[in-house]
Amino acid sequence: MSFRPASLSEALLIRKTNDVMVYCGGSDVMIKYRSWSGTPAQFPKDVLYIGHLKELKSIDVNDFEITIGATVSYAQFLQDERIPIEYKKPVEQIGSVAIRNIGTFSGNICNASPAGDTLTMLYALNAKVIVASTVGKREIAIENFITGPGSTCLKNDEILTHIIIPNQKFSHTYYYKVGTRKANAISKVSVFAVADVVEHRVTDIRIAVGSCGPTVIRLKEAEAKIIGSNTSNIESMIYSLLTMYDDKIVPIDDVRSTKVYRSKVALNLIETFLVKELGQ
Amino acid sequence: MNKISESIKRYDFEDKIHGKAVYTPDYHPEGMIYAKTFRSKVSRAKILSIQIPSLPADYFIVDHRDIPAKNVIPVVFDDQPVFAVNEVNYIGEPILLVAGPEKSVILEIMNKINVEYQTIQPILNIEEAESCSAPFIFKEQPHFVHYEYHKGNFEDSVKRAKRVISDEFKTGYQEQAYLETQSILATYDGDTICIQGSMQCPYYIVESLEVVLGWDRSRIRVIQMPTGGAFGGKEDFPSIPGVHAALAAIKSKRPVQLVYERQEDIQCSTKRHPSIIQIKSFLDENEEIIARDIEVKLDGGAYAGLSSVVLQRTIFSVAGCYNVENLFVRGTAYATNNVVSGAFRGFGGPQAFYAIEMHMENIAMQLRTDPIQLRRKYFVKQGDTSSTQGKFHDPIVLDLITDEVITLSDFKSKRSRFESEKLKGIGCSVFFHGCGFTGAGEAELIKPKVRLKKLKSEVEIFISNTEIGQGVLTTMRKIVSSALGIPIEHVHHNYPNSHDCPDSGPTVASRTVLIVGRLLQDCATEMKKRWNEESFEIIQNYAYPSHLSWDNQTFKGNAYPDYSWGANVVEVEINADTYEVDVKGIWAVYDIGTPIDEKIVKGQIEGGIVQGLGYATSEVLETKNGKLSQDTFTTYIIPSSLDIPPIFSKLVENPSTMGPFGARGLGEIPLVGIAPALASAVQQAIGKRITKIPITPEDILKEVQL
Ligand SMILES: Cc1cc2nc3c(=O)[nH]c(=O)nc-3n(C[C@H](O)[C@H](O)[C@H](O)COP(=O)(O)OP(=O)(O)OC[C@H]3O[C@@H](n4cnc5c(N)ncnc54)[C@H](O)[C@@H]3O)c2cc1C
Repeated sequence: MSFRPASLSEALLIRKTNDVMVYCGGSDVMIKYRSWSGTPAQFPKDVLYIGHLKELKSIDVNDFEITIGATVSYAQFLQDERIPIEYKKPVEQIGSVAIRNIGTFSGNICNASPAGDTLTMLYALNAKVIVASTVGKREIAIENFITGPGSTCLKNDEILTHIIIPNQKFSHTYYYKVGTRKANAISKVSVFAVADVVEHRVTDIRIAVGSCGPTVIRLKEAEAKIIGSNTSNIESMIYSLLTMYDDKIVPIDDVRSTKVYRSKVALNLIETFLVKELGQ
Repeated sequence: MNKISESIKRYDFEDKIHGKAVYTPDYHPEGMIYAKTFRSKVSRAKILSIQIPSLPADYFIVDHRDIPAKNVIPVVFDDQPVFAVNEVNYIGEPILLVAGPEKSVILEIMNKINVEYQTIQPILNIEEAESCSAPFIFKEQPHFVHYEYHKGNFEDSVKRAKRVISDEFKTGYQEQAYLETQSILATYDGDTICIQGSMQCPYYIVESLEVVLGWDRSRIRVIQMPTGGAFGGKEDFPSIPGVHAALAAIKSKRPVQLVYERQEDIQCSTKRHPSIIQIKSFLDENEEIIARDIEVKLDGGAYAGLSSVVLQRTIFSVAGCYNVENLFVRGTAYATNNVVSGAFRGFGGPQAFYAIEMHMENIAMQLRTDPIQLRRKYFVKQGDTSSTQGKFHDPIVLDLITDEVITLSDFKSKRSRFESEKLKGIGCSVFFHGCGFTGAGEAELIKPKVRLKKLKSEVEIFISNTEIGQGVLTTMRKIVSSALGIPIEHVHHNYPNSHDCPDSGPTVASRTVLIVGRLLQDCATEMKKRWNEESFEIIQNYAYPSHLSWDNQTFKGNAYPDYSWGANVVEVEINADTYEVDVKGIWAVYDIGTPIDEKIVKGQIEGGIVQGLGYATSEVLETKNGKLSQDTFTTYIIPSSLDIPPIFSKLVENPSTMGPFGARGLGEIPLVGIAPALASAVQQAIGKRITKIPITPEDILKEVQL
């Protein structure tokens, strides 16, 4: 059975009274539960369609926050001129045109793959999600929401309704995705990083590494070490910084890549950001 | 430019662009049911028992007991069964079919089938096959075929040699990755079995049905449907789903659709042969290459299929474009418990040219000479003999081709500049592709025929060659209308139907324009002489050209009726952080004689180059305990449109004396030379030797970290 509610409140009610799987753009679940073409997908549960819900299909931008509704597609996000172009970089490289027309941040977050390409940015920008149920809302930091590969703290009666990204300008932003090719590729490694440098002094820095562990990796102790430093000193700190990252980066061997490659490339990208990008 | 080369709108364009073309899976005749193949899950075992659940009405199991005549798919050897009986030899081997009206019910039945296996130690790669002992997969030997041939006085030259340079190269599997998976629809009217489907070679299916059913040809009809790509993957393979669907249609008396899922298709259809190639060059005191010793090993998979013919092309191509007088070449196609290897655009050529071209690079490096100069010194010329001692009768313009590609790509200055610029490299390759069937195969095995029919002012072409995206429905019309001197609108040509199209041979081996096109030209020339007759038809037979000869026992003579030639340059830059290969440009120059349609030719060139690029870089395909690890398009990485680098291609003018209007074969050659040119470029960029393809960023990291 499947449900196509007319409103969010109806959706939440269905969620409360039925054991259902939320279906937003469907670009993860249609692949995961695919079956012999011409037969219905083998979903493990009844399906609750939410992708059509208009009330979740808007992006609100003010001086403090960018709030993205759960059913906003990547294409809609990319077309929105109020969004800083630096934040569009990871999204531009997701899938292909067709996937960006249906795929959503909320699906990417709830799918909670360590290779999810919005996640590095959301971790680096200290994004939060809002989840709602019939009894109320919770606001949860992204790194607390995602608890492991494929798992989140979303409860069975909840729906993720919004993603909130603090609207902050940085002097430096950096993104690199190493995919298996240039489109429709799952990340082998990715790094999203931002920093604020004021008169050669680093006042803020966040580095998020994807596909290199059970979830996106951010090392607050390494970031704390850098904050306050003069950019010209970073090169002398780089060895100890990279050692800290090396300890925490725990990738795996799979059909796409190797442990060795992922670690080495992640460290290279971090080094490039810290030494080449910040040094400029 | 020859008039015939001017592009026209393709005849299959409208239907395909507007989505009107009816592909096999789109076609649902009244009463049609579905079939699905139940396959082996183990790589080598005896089947002890098969338990089948009780079937609802209208559902059928089709297995070896439903075969009226022989349980054999005839290819070259008769070793492959239609359905496994007592043993299975690879993961994915068909055991039976489940057929019926509802897919979901078919899946339920499939899930309840239980096979009890007694596993046998499998043979999982070439190395294991080389040292394996009984029980063997094929007869009482570890291989399907082993061939050797000699040229000149190999033994004496080896004794004279002052220096030996030797190499070993490895190449991997490649999947054809056609857009449309294997698709067949079978209908049976109580007398005639009709197969419609996605295919390259309708008569291969006709022949398989004759053997399996034991029926007369008059009761068998095979029709090609619009086909979503093939690349060799629909040469011999569709005989299997073709025969399966036919057996199901005969048993159920209903039309049966058999369409593979992508994962199933990748797992169990034929792949490009993985290879290990060893080349030893013997040099005299003047650093002249005086002899070569070459050994080719292919992984043929579980059944012989086309491995013998692929191996022949590999060993006939592996001496490259070079005239080295003394050769000892041998090759073995091993039997393993992997998926069956088969036809793929290039057909053994890509492995051969990867090896010989990388070896030439190595020799140039060892001798500290210019790699282009070294190659030029040994280029074959008109009047020389090939590796199999066949005389090259026509002009060979390798020098011109090389000059062009060097100039276009600015190879020389880049090559020297990149010696000092880190992570940049440029590489080249020179290669050929033999057009038409090996040896005298056209005359002795295929015996192609074409038929032209005139009715008043209209002419219709009847050939068995298929439109697989390469433009046959357009190029053949151009050839016939030009030969007749009539407007092309008066020439008609449909997808082939074995009922009214004679066997003009398979659509493979870069032979369609060269061989079939020429037959049509001759046929049209005959027709023109009788143009005042209102309606008549002519059948034209192939005759083996008198200046060619071939001995299939000793492999002496003209290995192919004609050759196309080419040279590629690839420029790369390696990303210092990620070791990704950024291909800056590909330059490609070919002698394919007169192009029959410039746009179609360009399409073939660019498509072939991209497929060659995938082969050289991203298309990693490996088996683990006999199972392919990359079996979806998420994990098997073909290049996307964004991965296509700038491609600059050019043709040199050197009309063939054999093909229609001077044309030669073109379909395969663009794939053949990319891997070695790319690998040499990577070699220069990282300063380390590359001896295996595909080359991944993970491999490059390993090399630069050493
Ligand atoms: C060809 C192809 C290419 C792709 N390329 C990329 C890529 O480059 N990078 C990348 O990161 N991903 C990629 N993906 C994966 C996918 O497109 C993304 O993860 C996308 O963001 C998923 O969004 P969706 O709305 O389609 O998710 P869905 O499939 O609808 O849902 C995904 C999961 O999230 C849950 N869910 C969705 N929305 C909610 C909600 N509001 N509340 C609670 N639970 C919810 C669902 O139950 C499901 O478990 C690709 C997929 C395909 C098919």
